[in-house]
Amino acid sequence: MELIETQKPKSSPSTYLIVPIVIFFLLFIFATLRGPYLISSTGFGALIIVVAPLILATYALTIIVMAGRASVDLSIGPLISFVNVGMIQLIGLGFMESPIALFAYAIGVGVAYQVFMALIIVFVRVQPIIVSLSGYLSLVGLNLIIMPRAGGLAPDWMYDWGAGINIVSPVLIILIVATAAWYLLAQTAFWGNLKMMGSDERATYTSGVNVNLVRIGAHAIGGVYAGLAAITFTSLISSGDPTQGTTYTLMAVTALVLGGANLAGGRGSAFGALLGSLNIFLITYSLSTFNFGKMQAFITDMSYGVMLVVSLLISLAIPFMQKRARGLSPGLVFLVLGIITLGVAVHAAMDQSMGIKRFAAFVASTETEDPLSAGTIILFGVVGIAVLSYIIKTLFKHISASMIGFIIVLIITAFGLIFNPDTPTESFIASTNLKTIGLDYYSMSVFGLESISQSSSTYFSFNALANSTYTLIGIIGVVLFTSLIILIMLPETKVQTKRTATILFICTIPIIAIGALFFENANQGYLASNFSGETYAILLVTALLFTITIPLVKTKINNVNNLFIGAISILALIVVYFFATDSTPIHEVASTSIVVAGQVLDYTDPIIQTGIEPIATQIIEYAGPMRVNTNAQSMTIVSEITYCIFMVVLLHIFLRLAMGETSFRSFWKYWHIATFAVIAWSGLFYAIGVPLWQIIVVIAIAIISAPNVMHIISTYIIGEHRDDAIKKWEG
Amino acid sequence: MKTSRMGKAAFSFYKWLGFVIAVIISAISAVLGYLEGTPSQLIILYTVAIFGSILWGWYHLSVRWKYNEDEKTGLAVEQLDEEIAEDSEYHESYISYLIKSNKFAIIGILAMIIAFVALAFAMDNFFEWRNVLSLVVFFLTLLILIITNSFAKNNKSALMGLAVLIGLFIMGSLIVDGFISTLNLKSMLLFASFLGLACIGQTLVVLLGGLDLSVSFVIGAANIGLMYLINLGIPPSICIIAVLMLGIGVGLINGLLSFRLQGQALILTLGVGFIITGLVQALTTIGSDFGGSVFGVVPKWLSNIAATNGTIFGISIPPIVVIWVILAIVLIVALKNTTWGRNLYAVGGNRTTAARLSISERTYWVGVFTIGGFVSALTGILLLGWSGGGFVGVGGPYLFQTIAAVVVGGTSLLGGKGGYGFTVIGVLVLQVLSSFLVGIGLSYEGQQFVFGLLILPMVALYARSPHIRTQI
Repeated sequence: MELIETQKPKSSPSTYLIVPIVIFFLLFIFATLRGPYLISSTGFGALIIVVAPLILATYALTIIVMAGRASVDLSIGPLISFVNVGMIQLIGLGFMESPIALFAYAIGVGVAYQVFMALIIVFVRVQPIIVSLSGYLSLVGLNLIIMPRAGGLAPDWMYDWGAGINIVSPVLIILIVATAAWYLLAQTAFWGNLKMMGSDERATYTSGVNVNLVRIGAHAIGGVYAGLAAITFTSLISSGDPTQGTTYTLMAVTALVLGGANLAGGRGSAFGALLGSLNIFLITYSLSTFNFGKMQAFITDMSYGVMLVVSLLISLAIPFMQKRARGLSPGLVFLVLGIITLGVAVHAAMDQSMGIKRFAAFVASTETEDPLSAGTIILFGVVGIAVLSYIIKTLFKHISASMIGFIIVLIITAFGLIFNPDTPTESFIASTNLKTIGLDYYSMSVFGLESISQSSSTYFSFNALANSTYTLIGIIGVVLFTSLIILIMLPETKVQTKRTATILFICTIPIIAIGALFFENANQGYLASNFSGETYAILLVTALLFTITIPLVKTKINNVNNLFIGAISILALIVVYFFATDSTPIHEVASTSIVVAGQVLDYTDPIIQTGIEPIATQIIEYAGPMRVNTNAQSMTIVSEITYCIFMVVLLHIFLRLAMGETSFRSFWKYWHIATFAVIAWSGLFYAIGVPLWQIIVVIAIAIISAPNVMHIISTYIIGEHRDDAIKKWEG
Repeated sequence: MKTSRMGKAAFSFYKWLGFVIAVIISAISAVLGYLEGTPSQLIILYTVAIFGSILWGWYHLSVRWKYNEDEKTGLAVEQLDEEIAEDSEYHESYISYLIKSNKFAIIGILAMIIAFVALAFAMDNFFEWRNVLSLVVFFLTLLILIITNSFAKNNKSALMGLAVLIGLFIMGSLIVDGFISTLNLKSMLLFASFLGLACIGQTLVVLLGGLDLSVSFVIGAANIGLMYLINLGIPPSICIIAVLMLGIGVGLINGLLSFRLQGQALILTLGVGFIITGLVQALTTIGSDFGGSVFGVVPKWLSNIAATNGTIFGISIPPIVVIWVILAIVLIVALKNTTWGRNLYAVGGNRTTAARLSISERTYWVGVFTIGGFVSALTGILLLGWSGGGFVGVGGPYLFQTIAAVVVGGTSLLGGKGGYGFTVIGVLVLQVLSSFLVGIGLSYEGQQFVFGLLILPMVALYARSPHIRTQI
């Protein structure tokens, strides 16, 4: 084990994913800043509904492209359209009322078509691109013959699918199942053969693989994905449309390239396809926040083209990247960018002051040298620290972790002091329509230092001190977590360093718990803690990220599977974050009902309550908790159940980490970690408004059922060990 | 494909088969002429002409057959005797051998005949001599295709393309009324010219082993761009030069960007196409009420060039046809007889060899894309003359039709084989086929369906890649 740890890291095979990852996060940040509406359960619901057909189509394309011979299936769009149109017409004739028949039909047609194509490619031995071209032309014609113009009705049970109000919808389940199936598939020998065939078909043939069978298999699986894409497409438009095929072909090919797949074959992944499709969606979304009038469609087309060309050109740099950026694993990039993006996203969505108005004000303020807004401080802070710590690490390669930690804390403190708040100008407040100061206490802007200055401008008290202290704690917490993750994820980091970082991480968990308690206070109406909900939400999210990704530390994030787990965890966290919230966009609530029930609240600072005489009591207009989550009616039964399941699963993952084996005996060795984990998790869920009894139930269920789940997971672990052993043996 | 070289018996069999076909067809034409009451001199003239032309065509075909004489001369005498003995035996049963080896083809033909008979019973007025004759023509075309495919020495695709062209043409003129009217021929030529012009760039790019998908987008962009510029009040000639420059620019960008990404030129040009269309559309939409379409008055001389009733020097041929013919001849000659053309084939055939001959791959790669951009813009301009109003979707059909024409013509997508002459045949085949399909009442969608189905067998006939086991 030590031998492996000290080995110089090789270039990760999935370095090519860095490009789509960076593009994705840049687009995501841009999109959330332009349109914070995206960060709500409605926004995510719509995203999933809209993007699902594209993702599935790109999956289909990816697996076919991986088979090599430059077989980009241009006919994927018309195929989706064909299944859709045929389905609608058959339903119109009274066939296929039941979902089973419908699924069977869609998948059956997809597979039949793709297998037919594969048979032609294999036995007639025509270039795949010609086959797909031919299929494209025929299907486009055929679709219009089957259904001359868009129309028809989807079955009744499918109507709700396309609403896109909730995150959890059947479409999401289809998507998750499809993705999971892909990753299960990636464990099989077939997958290895497929990748090998894509890279070098002759060598594969010579080594005894039945290349024809593999190619037909790839096409058949592509057909399954195409069928699923057609179903989600039908649910999206709730009718039949014969003309969408061309668009989908172009979009899916663009997504494929954006996802970093090699069009020559052999390289491609579901994760890349997912990112590529999301990138396409984000481009469209970002552009839709601008008002181009009649030019909208053209600008969108143009930006597809630009993205396509640019990402192709970037792919030229991949060999160079793999050479130079050896220590940079895509997982690391993903995590760091993910944290930054989460910060921005939460900020953009939750902090009404960071809405579009505030963004405009911020842009204006940079010109007139007004104080920076909160979002920028966070952004620059996190980015700066991440970069700094990386630089420090590379500068002093053999420095100990505690040293780095110390330097970081020093920097943070300096950072917090340098941003000595100036008095915000009256015009700034006026320009942002910031009527209630109270709302700000609840928002992320306390995370920045404006609120300190606000209070100091009205009165100087311990309040200000408390504010700045909490702000600093918040910033330090975020940075600490970020740096810890960086330290632990870096493949070069020594085991010793990793252990130190882990201990540091455990030490910070109490901070989070304290934050949670204070938030509960605030929720009760005490506007006490400036350690606001969002601040520690970020902390918690970061902590969770850490918790979930610890298992990956063992394998050193260098393969796509781990990356996928990381991505899923981030997505899952976002989901958790929004399950408990009202689905109404925050901005609307904030702008219409600033004073909830017209209440005027009397509050005293809890810090001051702890002994020191209250110096000033302020009457403040209280906007009400922004995250209306304690209201039981805001959570549907489905989301509650899903949420409970989700918690159980997460707990299991943590237990798997803690135990490493499958019995309770090994569990006790790590009881302290487990306890901390349980506290952290409970803190999070308690804070976002889950009743205590639910948490207790979940913990109870999780602990009791843990060994069984461990048993199932252990089959994979055994396989992992075996692979390790083989790798060692092979040198 | 089983016997790439035919034996002596088969050779003479097929030779005589041609003779028999010639006799039968000329007899049919003579009888038909007699039935229609044509003057006997004309009947004799046409009969002799048909007989002669078929025989000549057959001879032309047969000299290209692979005949294994060369191998025999190299063999020992006793082996030769043996083979002759075998051959004579072979000759006895050659027809039965043919039947045996082409079981499926014969079953297919029988099925078609049965279907035909069934249709004849089911539909009124179906069983008339035109339909019967076109069925016969169809079978003959198939037969020629099969023979060519098995035995042709070189230029297989051109021969087969010609056979399909002639077969389609005869069938069209038999089945569709007004197929061989002057107007229809003119309009077919007109559309063939558009397609042919757009295919110039595509052919050259394919000769180097790339594919250019930006053709249709550049056509659309040039179309609306020119209309927009003319609407601004700039003299049309300057506008046209500007648009052509734009086309050249796009081609240049295509070539430069895709040089290092040759395997993905297809996707890259698609992206560039999107950019250029989006850009031009966005620009033309500013201050306009119609997104994507531009209306205006096209100069008379421009519409004359591209109109069906256009005249050139007083002769009523659309000038664009003349332009196409001239460009085609220039290009064919240039590809065949100039250093430039030779070098192009060299680069397309083998990069390493070309580099050893100090031929700059980059120059040729960028060059062909630039030419492609230029001709695409030219096609867009001429299409504006034809349609009279700027519409970006005008290039849509050319996205795949250019590739289809090049492929049907027989230029290898791997590069280095083929030429513009082949593409001309491909263009004509596609055009005649689409006219034919329109004539028998198929909608645009139906045509697309048939096109799609057609490309595959056409390519399968002569562009099959070798089996993997032969590549090791």
